[in-house]
Amino acid sequence: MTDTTSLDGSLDDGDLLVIARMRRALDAAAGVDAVTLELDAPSVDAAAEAAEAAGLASRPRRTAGTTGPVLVLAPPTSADVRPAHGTRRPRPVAWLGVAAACTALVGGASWALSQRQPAETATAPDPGVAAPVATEAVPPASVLFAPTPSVAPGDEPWFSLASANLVPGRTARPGTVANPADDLVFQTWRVEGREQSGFLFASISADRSADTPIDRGARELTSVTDGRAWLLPSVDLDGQPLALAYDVFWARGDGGLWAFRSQGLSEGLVESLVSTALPGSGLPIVLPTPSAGSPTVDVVAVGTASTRVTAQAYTGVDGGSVDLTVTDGGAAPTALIGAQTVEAVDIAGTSGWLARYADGHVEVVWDAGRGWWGLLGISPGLADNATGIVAAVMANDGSSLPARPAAPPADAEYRLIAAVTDDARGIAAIVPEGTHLQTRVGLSGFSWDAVDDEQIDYGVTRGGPYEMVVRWDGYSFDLVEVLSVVDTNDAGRPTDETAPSCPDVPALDQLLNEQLPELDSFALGIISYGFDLTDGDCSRLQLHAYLDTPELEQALAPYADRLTIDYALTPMAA
Amino acid sequence: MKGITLVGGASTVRSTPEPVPTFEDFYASHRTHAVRWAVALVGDRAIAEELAQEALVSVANRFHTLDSPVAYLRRCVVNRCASWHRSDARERRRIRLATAGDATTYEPETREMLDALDVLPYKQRVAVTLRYWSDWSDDQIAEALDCAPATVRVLLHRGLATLKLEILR
Repeated sequence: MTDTTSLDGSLDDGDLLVIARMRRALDAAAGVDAVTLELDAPSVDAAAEAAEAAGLASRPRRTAGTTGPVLVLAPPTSADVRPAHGTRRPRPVAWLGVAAACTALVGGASWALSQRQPAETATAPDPGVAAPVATEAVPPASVLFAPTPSVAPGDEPWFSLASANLVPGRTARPGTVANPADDLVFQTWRVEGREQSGFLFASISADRSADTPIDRGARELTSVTDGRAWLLPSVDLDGQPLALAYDVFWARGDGGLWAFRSQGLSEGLVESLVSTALPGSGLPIVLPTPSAGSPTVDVVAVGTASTRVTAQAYTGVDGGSVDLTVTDGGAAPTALIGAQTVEAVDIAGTSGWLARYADGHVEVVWDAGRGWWGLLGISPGLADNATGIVAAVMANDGSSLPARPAAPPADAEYRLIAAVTDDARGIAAIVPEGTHLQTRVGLSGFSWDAVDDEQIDYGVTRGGPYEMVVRWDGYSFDLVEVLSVVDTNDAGRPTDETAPSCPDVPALDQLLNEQLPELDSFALGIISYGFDLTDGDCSRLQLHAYLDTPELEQALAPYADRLTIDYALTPMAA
Repeated sequence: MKGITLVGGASTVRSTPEPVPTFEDFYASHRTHAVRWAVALVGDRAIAEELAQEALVSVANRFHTLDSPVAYLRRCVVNRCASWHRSDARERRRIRLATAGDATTYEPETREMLDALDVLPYKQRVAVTLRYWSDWSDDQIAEALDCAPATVRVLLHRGLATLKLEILR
């Protein structure tokens, strides 16, 4: 093809065609087919209002379709980020993402409605509905417990998959995987009855949102007295109804939000279970004690989204792929959402559930103990061998566990400069300070009473950066003392400003994409790495680590000429 | 007249002081834009929302010290997305999906174009998508990329040529 694109800015027909297709593709990727994102002032205003209602920590996402219940929010996560090997295994239902989208569920509905019919929600409020609640940084009373803390790193189990037909790939162990915006709490129940068995999943959000009536095919549960709740059939990402799956969205009277999804349960049973749910004190949600003859209801899992994950990919010698994953948090059982069938299986010496999905792939979920969960994803091409693959999963005896972080002395104190954030998951330090290569590390012992510069925006309190004295157990910080507030006005320019300015350097690309990822970041105490070009040096990568240790020094020695290493913790003088 | 040097040497000039908005106002009026920009650069709404959110947090952390929060946000979004392309964020995202996530299926034509955009060198992608989908000016793109506007026009020229080769062949 002749290149006719002009440097003077004029566009030929080929350019215009490509641009038109690009705009359509990006519109689709942005979800503007479902949620208007055109940049005219009214829609921007509406989106802005909705975003404000949803809160900074919430992330409203596109609706699954332009028709039907607007509450069915489906996140368009990309297939590109699925494992590159083997057959792609798109999961049919993105309920976790749906739940994330519904951190302010009714707010999300309000948002979607406002995009589609702004006049309706803006000018014709239901007289029977309370006025919108202002966004505040106050968690609703329905969240009465602290989110389950992550388990200690030393407790992490691991499994191996011994099969001659599966080639083990790389084991990935990112230190922290939860996004700071993921402030949801999850609860899963197993429902067992003579007539029907299945699961009930719930996500609990602390976000306040506007109370907006929801119709659009949803049926309001009149038996609910605290707030308003709607029940509607679940659909997949393509808007197709799922068999025996229902969503219930409950806008609590205190401004909180409960989002339920069922699997394998009838509409009537879902309604009877959900409509009488109560906020608990030890559990986020308590379901009523079943009467004689009704299905038994047992809590399977409670907790926040995963914060740590170890995953190993396997490739089938004849194609297909298997992902073996161990993760903390209480959201793991939500992998069962959208399954066509779920059956009990024995795996790694314990009990689990094997779920089969419409696209042919299989997920196995099991409680690995001590707050950890195992997940086994099997691509459609290997699904027929799922039973054999499950049988090949073995719990390790400890000799081949992934490396542990080298725990520093328990009483050692370090100087740390970090901003502090406080959201639904608790208080955390943001390290390293002043760079885009940041992550969130739990910080105990910190009190906002000790400082006076905190700000509260959309439910998230943050302050600092502070110069602090902390202890570190290899996983989280324990505050000893806040020394001072660091004046960021004198801290120079932000460091995340010039990353794209560097040309591609093959040696650095190899280091960034191949060599450093091979290291066990968690064990070595590596926080992050990337281009950090405040001094315009494109010849090196910046690596942030917690501490200068011999193990880290040894691991990074081969790359010393291409790395600038920064340590978040400085040992205090004895 | 006050000249303010932004990071990387780009500068903006204000002739008159403007009312200083709150971050809440800024967030409400710019979040949608930030997400849209990030969608253009990573091709995925969910990832874009995360990156946009991170960029907005960066703005929040320095909001009252910035003379042009919008320009800063533009640059943060561009740089966050660059980091995502370069760093292990893809892997982290994959791991998250391995535990709880899902994949999106697009229409073949959409998938083809998103794949074609992935082929573009990052700067060309920034120039083409933000110019022709997000309506950034050459100067705004140049500021975000820390290059000259003339360079942006070269990037547009090359980027469109590459896209045509990928799509129309």
